[in-house]
Amino acid sequence: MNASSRESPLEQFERLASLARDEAPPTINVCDRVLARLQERSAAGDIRPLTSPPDREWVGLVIGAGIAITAAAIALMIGVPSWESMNDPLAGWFDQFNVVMQ
Amino acid sequence: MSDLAIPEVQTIDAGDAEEIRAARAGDGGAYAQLVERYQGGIASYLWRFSRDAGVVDELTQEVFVEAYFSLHGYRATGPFLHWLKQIATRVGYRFWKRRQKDRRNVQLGEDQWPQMPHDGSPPESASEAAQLVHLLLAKLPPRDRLVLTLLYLQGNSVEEAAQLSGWSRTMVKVQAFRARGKLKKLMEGMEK
Repeated sequence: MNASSRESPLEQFERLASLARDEAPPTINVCDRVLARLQERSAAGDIRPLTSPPDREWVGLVIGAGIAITAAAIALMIGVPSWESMNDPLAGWFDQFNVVMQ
Repeated sequence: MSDLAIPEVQTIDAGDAEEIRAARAGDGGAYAQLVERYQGGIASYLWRFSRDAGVVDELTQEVFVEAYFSLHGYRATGPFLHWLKQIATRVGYRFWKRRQKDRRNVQLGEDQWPQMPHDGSPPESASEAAQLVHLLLAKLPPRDRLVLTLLYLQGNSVEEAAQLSGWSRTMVKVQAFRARGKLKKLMEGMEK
C-alpha cells in the first residue's frame, strides 16, 4: 500500500469503519430452528417443557372441569344419603326432658 | 414477588413484558414472537462479528437459545433488545476465540490491501469498506477486536461498549488504547 499523506492509519480505519456501518446485513429467519432446539433441550429434560398457549389453555380447562365434576359427584354420593337418613340430633336429648316433665 | 414477575420500569415495552412473562412459564408461542421481533436486530448486530451469513444465522440461533435459558435473570432494567445484544456480544466474542487459530491464518493479500482509500477518496461501497475492516480486525486478538468493533464498527460510546461487554468504562478505555496501538502498528507495517 502506498503511504497516505493526508490521513493517519487510525483515521483511515475510522473512516472505513464508519462507512462499513452502512452495510446491510442478510435477512434471516431462525425462529423455527430456535424453537426446535429448545424443544430438543426440553425433551432432554434440560428446561421446563415448552407449550403453545392454546394447548395449555385447553388442557388446563379440561383438567379443571374434570376435577370439579368429580368433586361434585363425590359430594352428592355422600351427601344425599346422609341427608336423607339424618334424624334430628336434638330429638333424643329433648326426649329425656319430656320424661322428667311428665 | 414470584420469579415470574417483572419489575415495572419504563424501559420495557408492555408487549415484551407480557411475552417474557409467558415465555418464562414455558410458553413457546410467546417466545417465538420475541424471536420474530428481535432476530433482525440481533442478526444485524452479529453481522459486525462475522460477514458470513451462515455464521450469523448460527450465532443468532445461539443467542436466542442462550437468552431463553437466561430469561429468569432478565431484570428489565433496559430494553429487551439491549439485553439480547449483551448476550450476542458474549456469543460473538466466544466465536472469535474459537476461531483464533483461523485468525492467525488470515493473510491480507496485496490484492486486498491496495484497495484501502489512502488517497482520501471514499471507497466504492460499504461492503468493500466492511470487508477491509473485518480483514484488519481479524488480525487482532479477540479482546482488541471486540473493543474496536464495539466502538468503531458498531459506533457505540464508551459507556455503551462497557454495558455491552460487561467491562468497566476504565477497562474499555484501556483496552481501546492498547487495541488502537496494535491496529496502528499493523496498518503501518502493511504500508511498508
